[in-house]
Amino acid sequence: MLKKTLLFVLFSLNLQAQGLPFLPVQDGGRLKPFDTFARESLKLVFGSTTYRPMNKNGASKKEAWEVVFTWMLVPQEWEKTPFFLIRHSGVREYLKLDKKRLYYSPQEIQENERLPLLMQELQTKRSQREKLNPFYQAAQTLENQLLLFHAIAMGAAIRVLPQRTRDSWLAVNELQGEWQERFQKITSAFVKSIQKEGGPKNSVLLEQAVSSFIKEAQKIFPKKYADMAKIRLEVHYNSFHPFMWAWIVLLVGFLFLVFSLLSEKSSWTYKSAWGFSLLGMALMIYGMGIRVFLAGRPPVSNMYETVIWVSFGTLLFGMILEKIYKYKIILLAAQVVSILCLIISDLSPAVLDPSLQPLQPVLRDTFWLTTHVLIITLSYAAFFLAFLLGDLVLVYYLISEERFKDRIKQGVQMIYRAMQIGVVLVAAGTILGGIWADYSWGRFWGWDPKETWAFITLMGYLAVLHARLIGLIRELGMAVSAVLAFSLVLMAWYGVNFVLGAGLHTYGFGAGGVEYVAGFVILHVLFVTYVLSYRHFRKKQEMMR
Amino acid sequence: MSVFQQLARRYKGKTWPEKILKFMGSLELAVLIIISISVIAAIGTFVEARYGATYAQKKVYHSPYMYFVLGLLVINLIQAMVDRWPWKKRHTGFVLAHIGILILLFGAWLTRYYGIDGSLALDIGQTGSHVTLNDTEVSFYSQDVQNNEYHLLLRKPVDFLVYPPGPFKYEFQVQDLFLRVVDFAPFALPEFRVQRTTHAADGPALRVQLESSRFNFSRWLVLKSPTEIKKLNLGPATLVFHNKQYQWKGGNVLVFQPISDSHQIKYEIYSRRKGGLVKKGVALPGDEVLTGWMDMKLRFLNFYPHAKEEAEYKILERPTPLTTSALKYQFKDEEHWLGVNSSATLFTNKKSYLFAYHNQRLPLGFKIKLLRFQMDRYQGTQMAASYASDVLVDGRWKVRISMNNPLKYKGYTFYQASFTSDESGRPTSSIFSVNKDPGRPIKNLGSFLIVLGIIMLFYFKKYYKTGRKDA
Repeated sequence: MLKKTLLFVLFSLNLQAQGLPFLPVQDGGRLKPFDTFARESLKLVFGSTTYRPMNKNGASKKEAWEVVFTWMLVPQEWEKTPFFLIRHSGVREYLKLDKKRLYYSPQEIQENERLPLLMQELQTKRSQREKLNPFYQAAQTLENQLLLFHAIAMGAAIRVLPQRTRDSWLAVNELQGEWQERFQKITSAFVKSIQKEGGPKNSVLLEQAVSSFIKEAQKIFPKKYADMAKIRLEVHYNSFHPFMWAWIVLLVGFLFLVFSLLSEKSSWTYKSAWGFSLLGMALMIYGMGIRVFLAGRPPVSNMYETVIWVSFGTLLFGMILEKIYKYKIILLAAQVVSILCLIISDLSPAVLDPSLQPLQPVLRDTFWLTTHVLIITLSYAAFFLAFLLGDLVLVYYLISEERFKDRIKQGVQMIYRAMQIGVVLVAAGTILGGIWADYSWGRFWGWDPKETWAFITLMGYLAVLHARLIGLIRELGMAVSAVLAFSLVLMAWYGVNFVLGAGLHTYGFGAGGVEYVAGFVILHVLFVTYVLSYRHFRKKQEMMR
Repeated sequence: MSVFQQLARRYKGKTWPEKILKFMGSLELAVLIIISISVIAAIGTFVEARYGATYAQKKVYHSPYMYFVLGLLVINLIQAMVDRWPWKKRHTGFVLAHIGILILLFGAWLTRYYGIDGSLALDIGQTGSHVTLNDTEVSFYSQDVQNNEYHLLLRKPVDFLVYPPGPFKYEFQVQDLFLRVVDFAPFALPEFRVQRTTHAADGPALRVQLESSRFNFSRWLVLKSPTEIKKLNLGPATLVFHNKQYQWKGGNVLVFQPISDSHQIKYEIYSRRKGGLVKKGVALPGDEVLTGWMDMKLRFLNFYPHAKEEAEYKILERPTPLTTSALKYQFKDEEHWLGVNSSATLFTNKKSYLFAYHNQRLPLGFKIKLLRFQMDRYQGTQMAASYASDVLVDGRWKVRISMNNPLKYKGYTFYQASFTSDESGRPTSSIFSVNKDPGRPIKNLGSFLIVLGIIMLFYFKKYYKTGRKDA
């Protein structure tokens, strides 16, 4: 941690830092540092953004940019190395691969007798334009892995030099004359640096080679290199992991708050909890700020970004309500939600893609679009807060209804407040979504599943609030509703994309973590049932006495 | 105390009409309605995932159940507001939110019954004057073979999804033609089969196979008329089938030309890498030719001098992007499937008719011409970043329609919806979504009142809390 922080400080001081990771390449519709390109490539092929050789114990981790660059230098070595991750067991079985492994060498995959058949089937599915089920999605991933690896090995995927007449950049294998020589210098410096013969001097050589390549290109194409600051910032973002630090900091804050709850007297623990929460918030804002700056759009354009946005929103609402009511449990609940979201987004890059992708034309440059998505996602944050408070209140019910009477009362009051915030936001957001759709397509309401589920969420919480008015549900009922109604939010937020979107037939296969989310919901239904029946049973006992 | 005991107590000592009136404006009914709407909407999303948007709208969202519940909602809202009459200051939020819902529903009703929602597809340079709607119709024409003219005899709007043949009768007597629609399939996959004919007006058809270690395609190339040129991009190579002349302009291209009055085909193979013609010759069906690049083999499978493509429909349970809806008609004891936006020629003893099943088209009352279509792509990719259409409206106004910048003209609004492109990714036509929505300002007003009302309800209640009794 200390080392990373130090690196960060050093980075801030030395904005001119150079090296292979900073080499701008054109990929996926934008300019990105080679560092990002390498991380994304390695993630696709190997399943992780750093490389650790299999079956070699104690081998040290290697950075993506080092590994991916060697794909181009010594492809024949990599052909024999088992580093292609095939996650889907169905595909492994189809190809009759060695079942004990997850990683296979490109060579053994390409020489596989059944591969052409698989690719043919995939092609047929695609030409019939059917929705691909997880098996064929996995086959498609394998196809992409092979294509990308070969494109990099041939030097065709790493586009390093702008062209005068065309928009697309030249790839390494298309370089000619002096440019070829200049790139050759990078290559030989790279080889020396990994052989570690000359010690740190060689890494300086590599930096110089890259710098001079960029400088020469910059002289001829100054406009194409106008965004070098962004490139440097992106490399920093890649290595700094602001959201990881945010959850670590919040976790510390959470521990302080737990101590503060246990010993009511000490005020410094409460203050520290606040301090760490603010620091966590600052880190989140820092991370989101960088993403917004790099992508030039608000931070809610994919699932990954909404999870972070919800994490941020929950913490924000929790802190506002905590500031007003000072019940402690509200900040606690907000921290838990925030940490949970951040950890999930950190740990599941396969489902929640953190890369910055270009947007569909209709999603670009509209005020209403941005506003309605930001607002609806914020409502999810408020409902998430209500959900966790509901859990907390149910736990209090379970431990001792009498002893925690005040806490329960406070909790339920906060659930009500959070639900109110959520209802206002989801109502406003859904309607703004209608206005956006009307503005962009001329259709206020089209029963699109995403908007329909936002509407169902609104309806669900409205039902709770109306039922509360006539006393159909009271304190316990509010806690139970807060927990159960959150399933609607999960459906609107996650389910529409991953359950409905993938087609119903993909249920059991667990496309993108469906089993975890379903498990989460079922667990809570069971928990609620348990609390209710436990309480019922105890009431009966008391009456018998 | 259980929920039911509570309810019983609340309704105690009232006459039946009083009870009903009270229940109609009650929160109990409100909760019931809210839950019902949610359940119907939720079912709708699952139906949509399985059977597509149109199906879900007609069968679920616009179903009698939904309308019944919405009707109850209107009664419930009005009665709830009547109950609280005379309104106090503290009712402001409540009244605003609930009146807002009524206004929104009224606006939605206006849109549904008086609005127009359709689309317009224009090729570059093409002029259009009609909107294509989602609603369908069947029409009958008498065919004047000599002058190649058609006269409309009957046109009838149909909605087979909501009123399916079977329970509903569809029998048409037009002059001496009698036809019956006997079945309907919302998801039919057209499969085009090439049929050999003897008509001189039909173009030739050729089936070739391309095979290498990496791929294996076999494709029919059919010319609708003897003068057409057919191009098919298969990725590794483009196939061109023509009967006139062809000028190579780059790329890996295989060119085929039938030699008249024989079963022979002239072929030419062009390579991008070698910069021109690499091989040419004459082949017969059954022949095999090595193309010379990669390890690709070219095989001539079938050749018909005159042929036409006929669609056969495979009925599927679920939609794919390639399915259309299709009806089955009975004519002279024979049954055939007919897909939407296609027609069939029918012969009676005296005359020939054209029977068509298609989307309704509505005249705009003015013309719109697509002058230019511009597309920006993300750097170094084929991905569209933005696109726009330059159109000429009514022969006078030059306007640019782009994403989120619609054109409003004579009550209609034209939105840039999407585009189609040829195999090389070059756009060929622009697709607009066209609509007229008299409910728009009313829906916006309703929406505004709802949000305002909710905010007042939640956050400004304390300012006029005086004289409040009930919870």
